[in-house]
Amino acid sequence: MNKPNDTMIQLIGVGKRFGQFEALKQVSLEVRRGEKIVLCGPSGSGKSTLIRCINRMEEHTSGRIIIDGRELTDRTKDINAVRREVGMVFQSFNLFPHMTILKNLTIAQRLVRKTPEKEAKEVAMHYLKRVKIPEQASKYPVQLSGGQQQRVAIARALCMKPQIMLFDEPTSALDPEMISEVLDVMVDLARDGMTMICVTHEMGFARSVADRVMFMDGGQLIEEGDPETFFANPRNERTALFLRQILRH
Amino acid sequence: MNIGIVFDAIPRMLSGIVMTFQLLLLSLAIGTMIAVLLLLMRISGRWWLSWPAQFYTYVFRGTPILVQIFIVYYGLPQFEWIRESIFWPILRDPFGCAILALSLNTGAYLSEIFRGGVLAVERGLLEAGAALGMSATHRFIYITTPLAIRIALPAYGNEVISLMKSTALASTITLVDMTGIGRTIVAETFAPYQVFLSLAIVYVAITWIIQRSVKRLEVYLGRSTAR
Repeated sequence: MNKPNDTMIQLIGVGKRFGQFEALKQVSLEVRRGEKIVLCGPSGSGKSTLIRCINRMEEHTSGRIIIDGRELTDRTKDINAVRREVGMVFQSFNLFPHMTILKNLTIAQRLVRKTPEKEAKEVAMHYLKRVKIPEQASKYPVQLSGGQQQRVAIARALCMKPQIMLFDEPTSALDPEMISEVLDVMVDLARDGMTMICVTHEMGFARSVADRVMFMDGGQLIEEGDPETFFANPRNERTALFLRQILRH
Repeated sequence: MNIGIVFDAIPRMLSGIVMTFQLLLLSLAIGTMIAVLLLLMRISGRWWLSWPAQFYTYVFRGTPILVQIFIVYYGLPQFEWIRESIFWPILRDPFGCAILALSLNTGAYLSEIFRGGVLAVERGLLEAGAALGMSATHRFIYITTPLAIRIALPAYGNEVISLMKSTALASTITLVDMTGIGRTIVAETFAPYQVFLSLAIVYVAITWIIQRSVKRLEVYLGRSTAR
């Protein structure tokens, strides 16, 4: 199972500094193809920074990051190659407000993948159906609800046919009644075998899809385990405290 | 006070409107190009491009436009190499001088307006573009530019109005625009109050037209973000 080409993401002693502040300290992590990781931890613990380093939204300042056999360096060519393989979904959706939903889904295909217009539209409609809002194709983002916008954002990332999907608190900006429609799409994606890293506090989601749940604090990976053990018997005191706090109500 | 002078003066001054619009539209077009160039220099991230652009903006915003017009019109012909250069046919002509001075001046202001627009584009959108693998150039063309234009448009409209009024200064270097004609009428009638009041009315009317046009353009461009 653990053949070398089965490793999709490899972090070796990765550090990230913002001036004096050390956001990541010696983080090492290996993610296999098809694996689903849920990353949780208090705010400021470095979990967003960690996944943002994986597609180089942030540059790591020490250590090595290897994505599907390609190391992340300063070379723009490599960065763009990696970004084509790694989809990202943001907390604030970040749909292009001046483009229709369809255009949001086709623009990068056209520019980056050089897909012909007709094919790009077919791909876009395929993924819009998958997130269950094909009827919104000709609308503008502002006309959609938050949940719908986030589903479009997921579809937009999928249009690039990524090997890996990163989710940066995808449901944190949503009204409560819209969270499940987004999580449903993510569960569906997980069932399909996508390699996923999700920064989220949706513990129900973690239980049902995660292969491993990881807890971060102070820029370090403190604890990891399969969801059952992680939630039932956290070994670390900080993990236990964090879980008590988010699961209290 | 003879109100009849107003009714005589307005039609005569309107014959200068072509000159006013020529000055406005030409220097706006050239000024916009200068502004885009300055903007690209400033956001290039290279000091040897950014510094000259900043210096340019500083100088042209820091001096009165009237002084700039005089420097171009009276000052530049002092140099022999300018008189021998290919630009002499333009600089020999007061119209060319006015266009040059107005363009250089408005270019400095417009570049700052454009820069404000570019900086105001939400960072997350550019990140989303980057995460999709779009290159920096693609992000600038397809995300930054259209959004920055929408953001900068109201301020751009203000600058157009400001430039329109600055064209009146061209009358100081012999050009016969609306203000130039107004001054001629004053010399004939000795009725500065009525004539300049008429002139003011004409400028207000033009300002109103520009304002309305920019507003319509704003609504049109904002149609995707309005509910």
